[in-house]
Amino acid sequence: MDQTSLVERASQGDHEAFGVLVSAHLARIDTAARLILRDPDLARDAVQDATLRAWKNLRGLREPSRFGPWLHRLTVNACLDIVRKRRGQRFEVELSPLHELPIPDPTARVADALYMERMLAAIDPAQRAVIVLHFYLDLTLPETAAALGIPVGTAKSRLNRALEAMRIRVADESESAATTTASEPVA
Amino acid sequence: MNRSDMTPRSYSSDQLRAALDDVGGHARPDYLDDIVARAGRTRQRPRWTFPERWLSTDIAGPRQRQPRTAVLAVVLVLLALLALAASAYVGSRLTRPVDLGIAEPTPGRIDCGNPDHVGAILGCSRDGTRLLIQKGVENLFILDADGSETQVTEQLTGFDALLGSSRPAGATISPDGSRIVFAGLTTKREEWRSCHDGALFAVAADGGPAELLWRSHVPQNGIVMYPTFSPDGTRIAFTDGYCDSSHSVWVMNADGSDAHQVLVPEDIGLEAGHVHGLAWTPAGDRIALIYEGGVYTFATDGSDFRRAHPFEVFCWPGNKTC
Repeated sequence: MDQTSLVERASQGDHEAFGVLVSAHLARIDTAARLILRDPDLARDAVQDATLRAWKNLRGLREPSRFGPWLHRLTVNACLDIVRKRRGQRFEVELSPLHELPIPDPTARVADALYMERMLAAIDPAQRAVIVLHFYLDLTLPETAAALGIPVGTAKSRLNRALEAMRIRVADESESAATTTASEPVA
Repeated sequence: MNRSDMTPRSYSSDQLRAALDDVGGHARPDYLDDIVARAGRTRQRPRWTFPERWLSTDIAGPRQRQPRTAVLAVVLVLLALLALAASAYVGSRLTRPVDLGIAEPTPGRIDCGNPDHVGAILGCSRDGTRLLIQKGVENLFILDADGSETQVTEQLTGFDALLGSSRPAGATISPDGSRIVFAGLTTKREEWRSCHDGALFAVAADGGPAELLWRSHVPQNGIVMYPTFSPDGTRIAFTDGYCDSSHSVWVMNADGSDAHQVLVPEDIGLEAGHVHGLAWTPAGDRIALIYEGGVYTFATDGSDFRRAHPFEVFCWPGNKTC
């Protein structure tokens, strides 16, 4: 059954269809939440909040094909809600053990992952949200900005500051970002 | 090592994505059943409650400013309507008739506000034992609480012209009930004249000769009306002017001295017109009048002229509490 039919059935109250819809995105949004929140339990809470919000508001979704990006946005916003509620509390914990990474060339990828984890821990959740939306969930800068409810220019500067703080240079990013911002008006 | 000392690492977008994927730990969430179960226990929001379905925006799209602007506009319109309703309500209260303070009847006293008494009630003493009434258009009487009646104007033969006063020019009884001041004429009434030379006269409530207190300041055809004692009995307010229009308000001492004009309606932007029914506040600090259908008040020196406040109380004729 395609996504359109699933969305239609789910919006008529079929929660099994909704389960099928969510299952296609669950691993990805769970990882996104873990990257932003750096806490598996909080990430699970955020995903459950986001999926429940999606279920309640599913009848407002006019384009079933937009279910995935919509769920991503709900997830990131649920993460940021949790961050806001827990502001002032520390909840930085270890993520998954690196020795379990299924990688063909462990040396380089483990080093990258270690570096990435350290750097993610060094930036704030709002910056992590931009990194995750743009680089992990593959949203364009305007989509990232829309997901966070901020102007495109703000999203771009927040992304640049995050990358700078992480001491990361993305070889193909400046070109694509420049193209994106040239064609999209800055809100 | 200080992070700023680190050499930046260079990644492609794919490498960065892979590294993030690795850090994320290749999640295999096991709580899908919980999500489905919670969905099963939760009601979905009805379709009609989504404004996005009628607007050009989509719930899955970027949030638009347009709906917020629309909501803000609706809120502003509602606030404006609320303000209009509130102002209309306050305005309606401000234009309510002035409380004339008519008192309830008290045993042993004359009910000054009772219209069943014979003749027109022009006022009563503060203690409510003496009532000043007018019978017909010519004669004033004092009606006492014991039932006795005194015709005040029968001895005013020397001023017979005043008996021809063509209008109920008004009369007032002093708060202590001892003195009557009434409006009349100083010249004989002639049929062909609609107006005569108006004046104010004073007479004891028990009768006796009347004395001239004030002659109209208008050389000819002036008419003086509505003499009204202040609550403490020391001053009298009255109107003076041409008989057809242009009435002004005057105040003088009870003995007729120090008469001075305090209010000229034309001077404060009102059309020339007829003033009716002067009344004092119980404190004697303001005067009310009826002018071309509206009730207005002003300080006794003529200042602070404004439409009457609905909660102000005045000593209108017949109000024994004043």
